[in-house]
Amino acid sequence: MAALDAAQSAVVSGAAELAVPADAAYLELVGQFVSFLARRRGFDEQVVARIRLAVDEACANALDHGRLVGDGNDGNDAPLRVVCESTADGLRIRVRDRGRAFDPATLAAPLVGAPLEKRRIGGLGVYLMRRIMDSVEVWPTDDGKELVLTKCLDSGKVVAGDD
Amino acid sequence: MTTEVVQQGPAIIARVQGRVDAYTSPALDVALATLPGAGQHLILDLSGADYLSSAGLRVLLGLAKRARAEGFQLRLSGLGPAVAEVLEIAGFVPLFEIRDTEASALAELAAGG
Repeated sequence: MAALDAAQSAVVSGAAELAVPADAAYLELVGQFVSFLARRRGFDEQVVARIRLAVDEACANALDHGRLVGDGNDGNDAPLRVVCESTADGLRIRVRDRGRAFDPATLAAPLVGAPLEKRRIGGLGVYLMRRIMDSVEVWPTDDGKELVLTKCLDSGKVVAGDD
Repeated sequence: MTTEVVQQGPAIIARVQGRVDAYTSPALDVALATLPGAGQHLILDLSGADYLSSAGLRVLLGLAKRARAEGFQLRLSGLGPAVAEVLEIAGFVPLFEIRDTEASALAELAAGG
């Protein structure tokens, strides 16, 4: 099953993990962390910038929605955790928070291509992630969820202008 | 992220420097909220913006909607490759009048838009 392959394919070198307070002020640091590892994995600078954007969107989403655990624990003190793993064909990034899992494929696309009056302010983050990355999956964890992003080195994905 | 606001002729120019993300975009929203003044147009110069996430796109979309509602002209200028690509991926390019430089946007507005 392709989805399981993307989330569970073997890690070929050690994973790197960054845990930061659940505060948007740390998004820039997460971006530097991911950029460093994507560059090290061999992605060119344009793709490094795209991966950084996708992870930034995943983290911003986690900060917005990642605390909605219905068990009385609002998770406010939980850090945002970002794990980067080098796989045989590229990079896999896991963004972990205390929120509920959801299926990103079920979210409405933000009417890209629609005229101004029909554009909604929202939904863009998941849309950007899906346009940039080769896979975007969400899995439940023991204490919340992880959003798993993968990018292959030989990805032929063209992100701009191919709606 | 900083926003410098200057007036030149018929336009207010807001020059954005730095990174526009979920952390900084509220400040950009505040900086732009009262711009432009009555009878003026607005140029948002992004030549100093090295990063824009969807949080920044939301600010731009809100600005475009307000420009239409309030009847002022809005130009974006100076988009670097990374910022331009984000607008393109999001399908935002047709929603804006985008000019290469602040000067060309200003000349156009000064000539009557």
